[in-house]
Amino acid sequence: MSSRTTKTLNSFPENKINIRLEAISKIKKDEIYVLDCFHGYGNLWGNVQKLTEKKIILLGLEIDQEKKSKFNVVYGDNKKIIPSIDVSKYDIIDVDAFGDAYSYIKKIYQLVSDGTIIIYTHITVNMGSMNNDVVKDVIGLNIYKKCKTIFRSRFVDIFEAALYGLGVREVVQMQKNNKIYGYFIKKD
Amino acid sequence: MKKEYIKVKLNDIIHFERNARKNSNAVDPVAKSMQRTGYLSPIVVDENNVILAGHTRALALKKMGEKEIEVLRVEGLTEEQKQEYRIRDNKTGEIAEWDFEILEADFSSDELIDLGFEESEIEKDLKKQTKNINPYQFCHILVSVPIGDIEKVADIIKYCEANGYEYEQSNN
Repeated sequence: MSSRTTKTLNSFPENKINIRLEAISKIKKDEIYVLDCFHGYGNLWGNVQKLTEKKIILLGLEIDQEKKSKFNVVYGDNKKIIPSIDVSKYDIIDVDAFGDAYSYIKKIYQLVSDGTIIIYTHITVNMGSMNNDVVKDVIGLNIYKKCKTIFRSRFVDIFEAALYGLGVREVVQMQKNNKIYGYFIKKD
Repeated sequence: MKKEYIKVKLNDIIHFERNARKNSNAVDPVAKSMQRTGYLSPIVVDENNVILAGHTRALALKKMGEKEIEVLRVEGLTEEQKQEYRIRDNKTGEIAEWDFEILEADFSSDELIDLGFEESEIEKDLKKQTKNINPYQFCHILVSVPIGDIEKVADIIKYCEANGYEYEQSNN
């Protein structure tokens, strides 16, 4: 087993790290303000910081107080905390949700500044029920409840259509099974 | 119930003939694991040396050329208890889930593959694309036709087929 101290881009969250490095490269500033809505231990952004010369000034939101991080963290329910945060000052909002990212994106989309990058991980959990806000905003709950399987196979189209409804026109995205990783730049 | 660790010849251990686990694919990985770390988790057998837990370990040890091993012999279980244990010992492991946040912090992707994770699980090298997104491109109508109007269903299907529309019909 190789040394734990030699983590590089070959390490397992490489897809997520690459997306974040690419997002950072699109911001023409040396200090990048990041709001990380699902912070965890801060491993992901810790790895990103090691691979960029830009300074990442990050505020993490995390529900589990046992998860300690080297970044600044506010502990609590992110859905309750986000409305009290001035999201317009952040260059990047990271919604690395283990589940529904869309409902968070919907909440913050109109509040973030033009040019802000929103990074997301959107997961249709176990290919089971799709996330309510996505379904409501694109196809409607009634028909979804009656024939879920039709829609599950189109969950990427439906997620993208939901973003389109908010005003997003272009995304950079990767998809694997029931997971979508990506980002877009908010444009007025 | 009596439990004791004893040494037995590997050839004297009896595989349960109705073992419900298909473990042939797991033998090599288990052997590899034991070659690296040793035989740490003893096979459990009953008073007749029939395996209760550890069929794969027994096959892997044989493949490794072991002749004599330590096992945990358990005496006093009923046949129902033995069979229940055989299932639960495997089944309960399926309930637990991996914390990928901890795994990704402690291991590289290559290490995880070496430890037995599938590449698909750790999502190496996904293809990234920049794409324009669109409004949802489909409209779905769920139509329920009374059985008295069954002939009209044929018309609907014909219409769907003529236009290349996807449809599903119930079996009646």
